[in-house]
Amino acid sequence: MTPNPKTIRADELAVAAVEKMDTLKINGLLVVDADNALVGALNMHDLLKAGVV
Amino acid sequence: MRPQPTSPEHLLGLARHVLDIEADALRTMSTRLDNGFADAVQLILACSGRVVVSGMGKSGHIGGKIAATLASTGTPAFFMHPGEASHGDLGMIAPNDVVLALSNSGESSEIVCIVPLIKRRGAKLVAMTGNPNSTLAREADAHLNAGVDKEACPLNLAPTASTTAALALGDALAVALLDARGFSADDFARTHPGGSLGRRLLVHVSDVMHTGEALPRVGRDASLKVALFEMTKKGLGMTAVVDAAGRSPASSPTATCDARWSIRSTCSRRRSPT
Repeated sequence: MTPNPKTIRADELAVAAVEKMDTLKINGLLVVDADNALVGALNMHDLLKAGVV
Repeated sequence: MRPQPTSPEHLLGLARHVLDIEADALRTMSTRLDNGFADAVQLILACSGRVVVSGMGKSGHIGGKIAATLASTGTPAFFMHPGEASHGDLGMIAPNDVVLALSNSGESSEIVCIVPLIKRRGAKLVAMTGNPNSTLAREADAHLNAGVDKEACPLNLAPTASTTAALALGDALAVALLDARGFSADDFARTHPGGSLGRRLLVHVSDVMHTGEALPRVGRDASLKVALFEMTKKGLGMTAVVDAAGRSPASSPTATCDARWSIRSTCSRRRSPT
């Protein structure tokens, strides 16, 4: 497993997730709240489907 | 009609001539800008209603585009056909509206004849004409000078440079209003939800993420088999690994490639003689 996974906040723009994945060369991100608790997850397919890529 | 040569050189020469005339027209208009422009902006900013854009012929086509640009940049606006106006569409105008009337000559009869009725309604009138001494310009509360010295048409007849000037002055008006209102890219996106720009500015992570049952997650003490099943079931190509409280500082995703790597290392360890 990958310790300290890359995360993003739910209130950020989906475009920010695209940029983050592109920069880090990964295709998925965990979504956390202000307390760093897990609230969701998404991958590049979700972003393609939403038409933001 | 007397047909002319159609060699590429001749055609390109003509095109450049037209573009030069129109570019010069815009430059000249820029130097002619006066306080009428500032007055028009103030009138529209103070307006609690809509901007009703109107014009006949080519001015009407330009007016339609100006109305669309205003509407999409924070100034509610629509186009009213002057011909239809005197057959009932004048009812589109309310006392708190601003009418933006376009006419290069400033004398288009369809517009001039509805001016008194616009005024009687109490709406303000902004005129965009090519002649500050025209009836429309004189009657207006603010005048936008879109005058050009000549049209790009060799006969100096077809509205070409004058319509380009009106279109560009309409853009200047929209930009000045947008700036004064503090209109942002986010506001622009709100009127463009169908476009890719709107999607880029409006879609948030929360709109596309998997949550609840669709969110792959296993406990820190879960077996690799359980983690693989979770990854396969939720179809994200990974799973989050969380602590008992579901907190994340201790959590980590296990990507399928990690799992495959782990299985391979386990298998090779088993195969290798010890």
